[in-house]
Amino acid sequence: MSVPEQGRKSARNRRVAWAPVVMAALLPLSTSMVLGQQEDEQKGVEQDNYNIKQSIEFGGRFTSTSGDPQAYNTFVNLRQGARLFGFTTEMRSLNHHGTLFDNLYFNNFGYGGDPYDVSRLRIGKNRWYSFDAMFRKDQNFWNYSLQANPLNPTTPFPNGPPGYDSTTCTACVLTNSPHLQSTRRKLGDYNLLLRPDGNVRLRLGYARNTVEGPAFSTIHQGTEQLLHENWRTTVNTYRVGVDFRVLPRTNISYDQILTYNKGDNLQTDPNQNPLFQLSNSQAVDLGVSFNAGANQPCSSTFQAGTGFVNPVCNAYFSYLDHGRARTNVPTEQLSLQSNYWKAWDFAARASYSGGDTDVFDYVQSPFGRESRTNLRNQLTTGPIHGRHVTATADFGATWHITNQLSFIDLFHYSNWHNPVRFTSTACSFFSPDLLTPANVFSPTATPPASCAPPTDGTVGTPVHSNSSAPDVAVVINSNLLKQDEKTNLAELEYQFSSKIGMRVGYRYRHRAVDDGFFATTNAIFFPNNAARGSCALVSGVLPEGCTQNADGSISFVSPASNDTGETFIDEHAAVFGIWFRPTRDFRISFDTELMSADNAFTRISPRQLQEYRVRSKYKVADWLSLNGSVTIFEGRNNVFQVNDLNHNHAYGFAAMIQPNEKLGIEIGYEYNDVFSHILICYISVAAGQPGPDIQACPDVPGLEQQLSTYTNKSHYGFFDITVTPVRRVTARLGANLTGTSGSELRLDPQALIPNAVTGSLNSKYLHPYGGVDYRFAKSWTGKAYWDYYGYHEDPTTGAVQDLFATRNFRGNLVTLSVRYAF
Amino acid sequence: MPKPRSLCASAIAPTIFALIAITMPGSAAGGRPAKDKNKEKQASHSKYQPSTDPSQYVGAEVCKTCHEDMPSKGFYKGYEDSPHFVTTLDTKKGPEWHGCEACHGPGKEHVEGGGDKSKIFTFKNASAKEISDRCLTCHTYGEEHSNFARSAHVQNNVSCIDCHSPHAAKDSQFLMKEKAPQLCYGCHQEVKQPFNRPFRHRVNEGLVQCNDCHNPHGGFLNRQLRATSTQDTGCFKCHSDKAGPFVYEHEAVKVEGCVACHAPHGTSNPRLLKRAQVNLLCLECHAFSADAGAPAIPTFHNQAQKYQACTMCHAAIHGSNSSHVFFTP
Repeated sequence: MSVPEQGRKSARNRRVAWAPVVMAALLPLSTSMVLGQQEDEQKGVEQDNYNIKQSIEFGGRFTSTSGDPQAYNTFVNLRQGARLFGFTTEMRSLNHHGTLFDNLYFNNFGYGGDPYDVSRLRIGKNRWYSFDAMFRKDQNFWNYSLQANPLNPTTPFPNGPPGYDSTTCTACVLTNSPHLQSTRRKLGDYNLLLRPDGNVRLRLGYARNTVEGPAFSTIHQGTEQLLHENWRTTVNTYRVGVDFRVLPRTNISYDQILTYNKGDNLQTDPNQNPLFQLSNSQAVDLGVSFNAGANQPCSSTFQAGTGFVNPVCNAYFSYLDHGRARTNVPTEQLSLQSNYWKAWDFAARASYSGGDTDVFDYVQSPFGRESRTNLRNQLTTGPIHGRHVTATADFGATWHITNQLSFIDLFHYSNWHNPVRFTSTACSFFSPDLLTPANVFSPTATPPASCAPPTDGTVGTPVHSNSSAPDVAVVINSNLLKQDEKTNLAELEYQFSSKIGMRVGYRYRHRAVDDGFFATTNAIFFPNNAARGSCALVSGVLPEGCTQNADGSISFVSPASNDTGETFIDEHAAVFGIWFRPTRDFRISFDTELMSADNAFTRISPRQLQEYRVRSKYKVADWLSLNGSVTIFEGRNNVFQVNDLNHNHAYGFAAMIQPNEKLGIEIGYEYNDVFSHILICYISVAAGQPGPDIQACPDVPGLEQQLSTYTNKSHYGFFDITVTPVRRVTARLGANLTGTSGSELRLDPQALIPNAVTGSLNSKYLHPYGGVDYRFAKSWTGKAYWDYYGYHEDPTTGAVQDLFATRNFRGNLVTLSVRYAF
Repeated sequence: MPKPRSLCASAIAPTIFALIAITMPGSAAGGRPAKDKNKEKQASHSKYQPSTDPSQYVGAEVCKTCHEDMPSKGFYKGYEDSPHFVTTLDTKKGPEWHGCEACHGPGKEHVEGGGDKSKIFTFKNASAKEISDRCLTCHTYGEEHSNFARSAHVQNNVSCIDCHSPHAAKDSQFLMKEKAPQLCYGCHQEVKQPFNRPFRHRVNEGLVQCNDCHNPHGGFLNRQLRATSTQDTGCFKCHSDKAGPFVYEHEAVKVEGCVACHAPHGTSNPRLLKRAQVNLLCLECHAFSADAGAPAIPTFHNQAQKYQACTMCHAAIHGSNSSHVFFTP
């Protein structure tokens, strides 16, 4: 069963009549029989030398959803079933001299089917050890259908199979994302500290991060094939560290860390659709792009009369991509922290990582047909080897010049470089159509590598097109990316009194980015049409590096190409901050940073940046607190032919009202405004229609230039009301409500109906909730809660994706649970 | 292309700074803390240095005589049950490390003054710097707190006790005043809304915590971000498949960081992208301009008919070992 089918089935199962279950579960709550007093605070049980507090909350969730179950699972993914909502054990030694431990804390939630399971264990014995463990599991389901969607139109395919040949090709519309994911991430962090208060401490750590599970991906080779990807990545990190306190108020640490990263993802193409058959009844994968008007996957995709797939079309029988990626990076780190001098404190850190990366047994093997090149079988293999080297040095110091005045300096140095080489051997076999096996040529000239022919290959002369790749190619790509960065922040800080303080400073940042690309090719072009590609005749003559062989083939040895680039960026920033605390109950702070750079690495990297932040908290009275914040970000790369301007403004306030112990209200609102515009170049020409009346892109013939404007305005409001009318009962009602509206440039301005729908850019995401806690006996609390998750996108009028694959959903969740604390 | 500038300025400043520190004769305390409380108050150039004179200290049991139920019922019991109580059990260190007086300073004058509040350090009206100085006297071990004095929190007068409550913690772990992320939202209200968007990191759900990415106690990096153990961007701790290194790097990922394309807290755009439609995001860099290295899209990428999503073909957009156009991993 495919992943989307599973999602739909679970959604159907969710639509149960949960009302009777709710009633049944609430029944014991309404019988307020054994009524003890509401406990103010969990006292715990004292046993032997320990105070033990435990609580467990368990129950079930009942879910009813309508609309798009895939979007529900992507955003919420809370499903029906029994759950452990929480389990906590706390043990504390009464005399702080426990036998094995003095403190233990063990907390869990989410087990039984929730997408997020978390466990945390902290255990320690004073002066001897402290152990901290955290385990997290994340069921990462992702199927928001617009992601990587080709947005196929509903144009019918003449002679196509059912669903494709009708007046409206609804089967063309993809209702699942071609990049769907149903992976499971597990994160574990385990740290042991020996002699926490000793002059010498030993630290041992282990972390493990795994991602496993099925996903979809796509590959573009003629058509866009939907691939099944089996994710399997693992990162193991081992750490040994020691802290020395040899001087007063000074700590020196040394760490050895080993990070071992394994990637064993496997991509295959199991998606041969039985509806799409060749005349020999062989099923093929035509990919996910179906656009008859644009000849996708090819012109006359289906043959007249028979409905068979056109054998010269782009289509695939199988695909394989696999390699065992291993990255092994040891790191050494030395750090220092000292308050040895009375007027100074320091922190410094230096680390060096130098590791190897390899991809073993790499293989990529498409089998089918790429009509542009006549490619039928290809096998690409080869070793990949590289290095990952990082050196960093950090230094931070504060000079307490007087009680009020301080000077702060923070320096950061980082230098990393990634040189990686791929020596690929590609063997390509060609045929004129999907029904004909590849012809295998037997050269007398020496090819750069030997190639095993495909099992169905026949001896003969391959049928090449002008775009066919070399039949055998050994290519060495050796690339480098490097960055050297230095940042220094110097600040002067003055505290006028306990009520006001300010700081002013200057940040300088220099970056040097180097990239290098080195490539050599040793290839052979077999006949027919051997003079193609790099050896295509120029004025009737073979280009440099090409040698005609006696068997009709042409050998090609490229001159080594070497392309390097350097980018230097200098940034200067003024920083300023001021805080007031006129009374204990009121505080307000203001920070700003004004940056100017002389260069930008990308067009969207700001050359000028302004950031302003104001935050305030005011406790007006014991029963009323107010919060407010303003964040303004302005960025610019406003140079010729870029014209980038963008901003992100956020304004918010919140109020907490608690007039008495029985009533608590929290309410807030935030407005967020994101804007950008930038000149972009693109091509958009609908068949038979003139191009948009916009100016040509400078120096790129065929592209047009236009100002791309993006707006996104969001309103977020929330409230949470807690009422305790009697000591046994607490009721809660609240909501988190987000509404977003925005606009963006249309890339198909000639079309009456846009291909790309605005989707989540104009949407509402609503989560109201409410419930009751009823303490029906000593230590026992029954809980009944309702949550509603609603997602709605404003449709784009007439757009195919919004007509046939809307992503809206509504979900009602009822959660019944019992908590026992003792 | 602009020429590289001299980097002397950035390298020299900390060096001079360190030299001054080492050579300044009056600045070294060298384990010679102020002798008494008055001197301690008057001392300039100073962080908190507790008095080592044992006669100034009275011990926690004396404090208990008045503070057993003051200022609130069970006040002393709460302290007795807390991790800080273990300081009273340390027999090796001096009285300035023990019990209540380890934080509040010597209590003799306060006791002799009949409980005069001005004779002892109270945290109520102290500045963040004063408070953090007290706490950091003990909590300076290791990298986690090593830059707290230079953190954005202290610089905005946010002290340890704005988040931690030694006497009345709501969350026993780390004596937090409130559980995260609500505690963080209390000041950082602007991040509450992104975590309530449809596309978000699962912070409200309890899977991800603010301090997974940020170190609330400060750090060497901007925005107090954490890095991986190999000093790469902290995002790679979970998203390790994007870390590489790759034969063909998407350079912006490594040079400008994930935030070049993604809004890490949450957005209304799929995959936390900064634009709703991925093509528009790609085209913002992949368009001609005189000083941008990213190539423009080819003229056969007709946006009116196909290639509606760049990532459908360029699926390995974060970097690839086998395809210079990021078609395959």
